[in-house]
Amino acid sequence: MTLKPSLFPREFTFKHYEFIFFTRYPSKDFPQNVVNSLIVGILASAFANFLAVIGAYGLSRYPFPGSDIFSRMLLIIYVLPGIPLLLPIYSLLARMRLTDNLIGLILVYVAINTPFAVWFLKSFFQAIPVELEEAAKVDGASSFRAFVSITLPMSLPGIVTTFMYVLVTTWGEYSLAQIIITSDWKKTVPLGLATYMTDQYIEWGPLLAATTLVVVPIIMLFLPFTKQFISGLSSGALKD
Amino acid sequence: MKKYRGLIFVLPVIILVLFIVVLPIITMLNNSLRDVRFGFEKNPAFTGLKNYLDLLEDETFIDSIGKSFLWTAENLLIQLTVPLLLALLLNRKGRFYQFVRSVLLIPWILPMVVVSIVWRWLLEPNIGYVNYLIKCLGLSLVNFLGSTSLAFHILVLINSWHFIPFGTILMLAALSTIPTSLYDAAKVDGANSFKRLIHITFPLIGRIIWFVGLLAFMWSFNTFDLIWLTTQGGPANSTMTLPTYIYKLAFKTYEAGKASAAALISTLILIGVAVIYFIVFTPREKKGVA
Amino acid sequence: MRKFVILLVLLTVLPLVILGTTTIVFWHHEAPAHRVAAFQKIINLFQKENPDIKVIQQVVPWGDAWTKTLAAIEAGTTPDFQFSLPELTITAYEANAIIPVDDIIQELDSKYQYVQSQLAPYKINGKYWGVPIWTMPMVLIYRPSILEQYLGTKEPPRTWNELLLAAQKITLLSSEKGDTIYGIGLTAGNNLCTQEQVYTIMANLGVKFFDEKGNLTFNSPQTLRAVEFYKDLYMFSPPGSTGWAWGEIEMNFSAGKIAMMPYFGGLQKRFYDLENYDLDAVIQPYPIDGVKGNLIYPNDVHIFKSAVEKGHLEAVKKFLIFIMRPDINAILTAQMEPGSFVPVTKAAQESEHYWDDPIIKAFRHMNEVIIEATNYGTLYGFETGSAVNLAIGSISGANTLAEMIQNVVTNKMGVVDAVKWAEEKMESFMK
Repeated sequence: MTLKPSLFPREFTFKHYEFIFFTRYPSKDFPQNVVNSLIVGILASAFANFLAVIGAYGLSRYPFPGSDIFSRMLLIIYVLPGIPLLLPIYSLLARMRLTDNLIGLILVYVAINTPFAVWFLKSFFQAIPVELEEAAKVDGASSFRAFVSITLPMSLPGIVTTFMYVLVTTWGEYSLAQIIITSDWKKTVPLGLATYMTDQYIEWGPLLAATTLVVVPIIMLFLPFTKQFISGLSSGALKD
Repeated sequence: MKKYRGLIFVLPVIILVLFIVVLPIITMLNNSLRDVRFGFEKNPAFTGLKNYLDLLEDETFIDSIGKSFLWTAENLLIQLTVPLLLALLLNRKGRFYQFVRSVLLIPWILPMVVVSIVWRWLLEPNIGYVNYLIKCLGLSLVNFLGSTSLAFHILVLINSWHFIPFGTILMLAALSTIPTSLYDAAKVDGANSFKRLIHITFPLIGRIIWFVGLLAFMWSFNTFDLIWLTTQGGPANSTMTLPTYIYKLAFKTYEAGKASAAALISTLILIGVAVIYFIVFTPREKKGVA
Repeated sequence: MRKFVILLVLLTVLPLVILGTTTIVFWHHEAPAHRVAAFQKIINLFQKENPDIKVIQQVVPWGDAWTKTLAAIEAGTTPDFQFSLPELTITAYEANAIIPVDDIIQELDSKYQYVQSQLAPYKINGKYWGVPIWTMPMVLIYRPSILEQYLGTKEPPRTWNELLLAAQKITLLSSEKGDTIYGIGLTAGNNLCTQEQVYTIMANLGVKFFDEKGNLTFNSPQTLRAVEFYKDLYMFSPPGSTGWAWGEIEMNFSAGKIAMMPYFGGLQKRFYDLENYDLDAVIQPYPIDGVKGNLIYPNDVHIFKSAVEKGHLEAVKKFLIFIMRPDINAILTAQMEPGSFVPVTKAAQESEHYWDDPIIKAFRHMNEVIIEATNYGTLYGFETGSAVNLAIGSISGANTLAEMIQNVVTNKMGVVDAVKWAEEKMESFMK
């Protein structure tokens, strides 16, 4: 009469996937979670990269006294303990009326990730000889044009790398998302997954099905760029 | 003025960071010097360094600093060696290795919330899957997360498991830049594979090891989700690291003042260690790197 | 022309419709799908009766409840009301964010008659700050078939001695046969679950955390005896249980690894789904010189000041009165988490809507025991009938009881030292 542990499935079934796709309670809207996470991840990544490219370019082409120390300080922002900052960050967003708002979440992610991205991209730009840009300028191109047509394409692997990096880290972020987002239909993937596992209940079927689905979009985004990602990591910044 | 032209480019970043990061830190600093419970009382009494002095007398806090260092050290050790070994193993051409490399990334993509809960269940002593396997091998059950001597190290392993894929990819990337001709030449000179590793591979990927170490350090020191969702710092405070204790102070016992002070101390420690890391371990500077 | 008329009508009617409805938002912390569905069910029923009020539920998992509540209070983004526990209500009270609810309590009490003990944790300085909605009593749940197999009777133990003997006998006999079933399920993890179980044992001796003036009276002979007994019983709890919380202990009990445990009645839903009726309960055994007693966790709703500022108070009151109507309350209790969430008013406890629920019916005896247990239940810190010392919020939040037990069970600290340690810890929160 004892129940066997039901930790692992004994029958093959699609019902959990069905549940995840078609059961759309207010708080159990997994497709919506994925969409939200993609929006947040991609926009935060894009925005962070945009700012980082500008910043890193400036740091590498126009170094100023102390710019080396400055770029290392950027990295330190990344090591700050997040927990005690939760309340102040939330009240700051509240003052800007950006709580329970994906834009607020994106803003915070950008602020946290950009410094790292700047630091990472800076060495990419440094690895590209200034002479190439100079040559283009001699041919009559503006600094901006030279940058867009020469430097940017050459540092593309680096940009792809930071993009993927920021995307993945924001994809799984929980603490900040938890405090900033409240409405069920604005929740991101980790928040959605958390509702399948409380202290008492682990809804194993849906949880594992959802987890599989969490991996898929990222892998799909990732795979075409794996090559770029790896070459991005191995060229420029990390090459000795 | 022209000297500072570069600053204009980083201005957006600076402004953003000032707003979202520095401003909250100032709030934290202010709270750490006041008698606050929740952190948002109106006009709380100024108590100077009382919160800091309280912390120094708080055994749990002092212990948690030690735990955090041990935690970081163990994590670093695993997160540097395993990815390196894996990378050396996987640094081969062919579809199979490419496939393995993609699959390898999965643990890194999984949100930490999921990782924590799933491992907590896999490791459950009586009906968990891991102990089921151990039992099948004829060994006795292991109380992974419920024993003071094991829980800490088990959590280190889980944390590392999550990071290893990324570290491996980084190492692989570095290895792939080493031209095979170098190895061939060494082979001709009669160097065995161990010697080749020491004399060719290590020097060439020194910088990536440094970088992986840096990332592993930053992520490990601040690990919170994993510990809170599995042991809440238990059993008997054996997994109570700094971030876990800070969370407990801030949101469980409502000592926001003390929590802020602890966070500030934690930040200073981190910055200190980071600076030392930069000074001592940064590979010899090449033209303008980092 | 027709389009224009339609537009005109829309323009005049729409604002009326929008102005006429009040939208109220509440937070609850019950994330599992079936609980969310139950909430939506009562919302839909309410909206049908009150078309001018729109109700929105938002799920904040328990783990995030405290951070989110504090953040929302600080930033002024609180919902209109939220489901809660005594500790969270005290936090919200101390943060000066909620309003007294005496009038609602009075109305509900005269209509449906509250079980008085359930109001105690919400009475602070003479006023009520939370409206109890349902409650969670602990009883001794057990597997009759295991008892029969190893004790030769389905009769559960009634006293501490019987309990200890039964636990020992089951553990030893079953391990002789090579298939160890543990006589008792207790936890010693650093979590609330451990505190709940320990406190149930303490309640058997009438342990009081504070006297009526709020002075600490924790370190008493009764506490020492209770902790000693917990430690003795623990010998027959699964060795891995030192890291457990609710999830693990439930899974092990369901898997038939545990014969008895002080616990909530909520497992009946899982058993019912698997058509397994090998589950019953008895009032928590107590020593011959002790008292019937157990932990009870009344869940409440507190109303934020923001509801008053937005003019939502009347709508919120209407909703609260509505969900306490015995037929509706049965959805929140019997349907949402049968056996675990139990009515707090006499009217709802006696209502046929509660007893007609298929799961409640299937485990009728067990549920009668659980309802009876609401009369003996107390909660740590509120034994004297009201919240006398608000430090209990931090004491519970810091898992002080759980840490004390970990010191005894895992760290092999002496019971006297451990209790003394806990009392000192509690004092530190009272400064």
